[in-house]
Amino acid sequence: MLPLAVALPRRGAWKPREVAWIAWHHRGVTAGELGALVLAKLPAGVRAAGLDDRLEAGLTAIRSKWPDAPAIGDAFALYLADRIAAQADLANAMPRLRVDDLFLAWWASSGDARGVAAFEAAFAEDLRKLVTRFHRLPADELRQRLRIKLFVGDAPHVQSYSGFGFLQNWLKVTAARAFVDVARSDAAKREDDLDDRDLIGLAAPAGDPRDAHGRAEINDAVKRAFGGAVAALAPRERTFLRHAMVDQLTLDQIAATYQVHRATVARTLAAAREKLLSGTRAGVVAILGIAPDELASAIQMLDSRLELSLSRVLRE
Amino acid sequence: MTACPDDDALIALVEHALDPAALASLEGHVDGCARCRATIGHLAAIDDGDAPRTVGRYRLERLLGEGGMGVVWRAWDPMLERPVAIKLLRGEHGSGARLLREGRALAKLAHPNVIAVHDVGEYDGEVFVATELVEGEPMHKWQAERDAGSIVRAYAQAARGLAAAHALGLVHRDVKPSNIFVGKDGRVRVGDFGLVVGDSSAATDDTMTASGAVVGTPAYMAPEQREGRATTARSDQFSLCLALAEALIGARPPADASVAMLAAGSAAAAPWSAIARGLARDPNARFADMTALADALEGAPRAPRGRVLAIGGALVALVVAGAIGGWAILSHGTGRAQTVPSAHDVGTAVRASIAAAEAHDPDACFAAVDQLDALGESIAPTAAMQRGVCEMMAGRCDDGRARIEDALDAMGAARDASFQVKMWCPIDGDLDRAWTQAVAHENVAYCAAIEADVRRVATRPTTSNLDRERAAQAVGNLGRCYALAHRCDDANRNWTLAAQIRGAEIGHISCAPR
Repeated sequence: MLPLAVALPRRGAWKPREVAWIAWHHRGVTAGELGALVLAKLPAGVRAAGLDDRLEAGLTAIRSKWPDAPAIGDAFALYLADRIAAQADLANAMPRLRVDDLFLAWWASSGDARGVAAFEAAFAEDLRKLVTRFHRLPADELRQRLRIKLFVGDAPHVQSYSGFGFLQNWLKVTAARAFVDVARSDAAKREDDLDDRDLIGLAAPAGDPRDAHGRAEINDAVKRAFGGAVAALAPRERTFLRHAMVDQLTLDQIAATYQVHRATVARTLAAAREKLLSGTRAGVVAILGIAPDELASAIQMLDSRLELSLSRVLRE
Repeated sequence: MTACPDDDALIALVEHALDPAALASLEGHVDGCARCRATIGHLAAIDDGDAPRTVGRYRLERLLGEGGMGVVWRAWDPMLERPVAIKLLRGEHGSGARLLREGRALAKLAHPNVIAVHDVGEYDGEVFVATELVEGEPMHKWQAERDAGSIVRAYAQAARGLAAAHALGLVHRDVKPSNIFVGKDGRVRVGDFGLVVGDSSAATDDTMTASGAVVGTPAYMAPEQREGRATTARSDQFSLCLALAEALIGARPPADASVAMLAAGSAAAAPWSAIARGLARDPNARFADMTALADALEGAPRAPRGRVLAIGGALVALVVAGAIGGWAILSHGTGRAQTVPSAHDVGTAVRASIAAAEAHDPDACFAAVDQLDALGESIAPTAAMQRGVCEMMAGRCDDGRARIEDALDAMGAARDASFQVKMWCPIDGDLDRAWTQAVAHENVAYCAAIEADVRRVATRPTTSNLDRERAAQAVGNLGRCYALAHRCDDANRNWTLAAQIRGAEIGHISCAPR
């Protein structure tokens, strides 16, 4: 902490002793000094080999990214020591220690509004992209909920960031989980059976000459057949199809996520679509006990509208 | 349903660093858990490939490629402030240990024609190798647009790099165009050392273990490697020559392809004799080492203009050839203007005959000659001679010789023995050829046809131990040829003769009477 004298405007000249004192504080803590502080707080027997290098890199980054950040001292050293002590396999984890990321998390959780602002500025782009994905929900509300979860309360969630690994990735996971939960509870409130409505539209569009009873029968058959065809897919086919249809992922995004080749994803999706179509056709024919050619119009509809309806049906 | 993945697992997923077992388990979970699937979906959707991830001190930037054994990333080394390539090996502990060992050995190797290994280590249970990042192209792409001279020089550079690795006792085992890189600076580097590891990895020396899996890319493997026998530095020599021949000809020639056969496949002047030697089926018949091959590739005198001519030249007079159905196409005088078939058509027929040779198939050989005949007058002498080769292939040596000599006479060309490479029928005194023939063919009709010639050549008095050994091998191979056809009496007759020539029993396969 800077002395009151520095924080307040002052009349008259600085005394040499005061200038020296201020200069010393502005120099900031060195990696060696911070290391000594941390080591003093670690439980006996914890060997933090490689810590100095990580501190050196972290302090350099902190000073360049946030020149106005609060001085680093005992409080942060304790925060850091707690997280180092919590690592089961410290020797392996040490290269992943991110002192600057941990500092940002500590700063933002300390109740300092500048820390929260710095945090949100650092990850604005990631949050913007993520919020955009949930276009049915008000963006401001999403942001506010995340802010409360991360920074407010006795144990703000941001304190659970371990300091090992990138804070950016931790935040993406945390935010995606939070937003998905909001979206799911929101959808549950508007329980209006979108899937069924969609399937009805799929099986019997307006103008269909069949009577109401026949329509309902076909609706039911299509729904059951489709459900059966989805269930008959291999788990991977189902997952990739849902990612493609519901989550609107590209082949490359699916491939990167599951560490498979793009061509593998393409093949899997093509096979899944084919199985879904043929399985649904066969199922409808079997359930209604009719000849395949009697369903020609329904099948045509199925082909052309399947893509539209899949996304809803696949949600569950 | 399994429990939802924890934050660490999802972070690892975002960083593309989840190990295969955890990934499989996550995939299983996601099928039944819409909440996790949606979360992963959103995370993947906002992933534009810039999720920061480090391996050791290296920050991974972009996935460059993936193979069966692992993935390759473009990465940044913040310490030395330079880009690097990071290879991460999937699972398999034994192979990881071997990769570490090879990586450490390669790290000591600094050669301009080998991709430099900067670092090797283990990180989060994954073995990684950090290497120089080559801005450029893999050879198979680079060579597509290059002339023969540039290609030969590039492969010679690759040979220098391999020679340096061999000097450390490291055999590449998987030399192929996609493992050779040409930088924007034009410098050629050999990469991917030891990344190809069988599940029962090769022994620490150059040889495979007795039960060793065959490692390498089958298309470019040396015969001994393909058959699971000792893989040595000379196996790399074969693979490199095969890749080079393919680059020049457009097709992979068979082992023991002759000089004439190679030259026939391409219009370009190239050090064919060096390549043919590297392609010898017998490792001992190849160059002593990779440096010798590189020297031969670089130092080979260019054929003077006019001697070897493009297939589309004004007039072609052909002198046979014969290697396994190939020809040398040599210029003959200044010539008259004639309609000349396209190089493409001639090349097609040539390739057909190479295929016939690989298959030891005289019928296919005759079919290829028919193709040549169809190309018109200008190619007729070639066709006539090639028909002679086919006759030889069918075991009719005398007919074949007569046809070839007639064709040469008809063209007014000298019956210059130096041009006659009669691979299919022995020539007096040419022990090497007789030996090669007997090695290369397991067609019993053919063996019977050449047996008298081979035995005659092999039993000539000689004071050379080497000649004696080759003669014994040639006769022994006749025995093998018969043995494969279950003609054990014929096999034993030849093995007995081989033992007499050598003065000791010759190793042979067992013969089962039909």
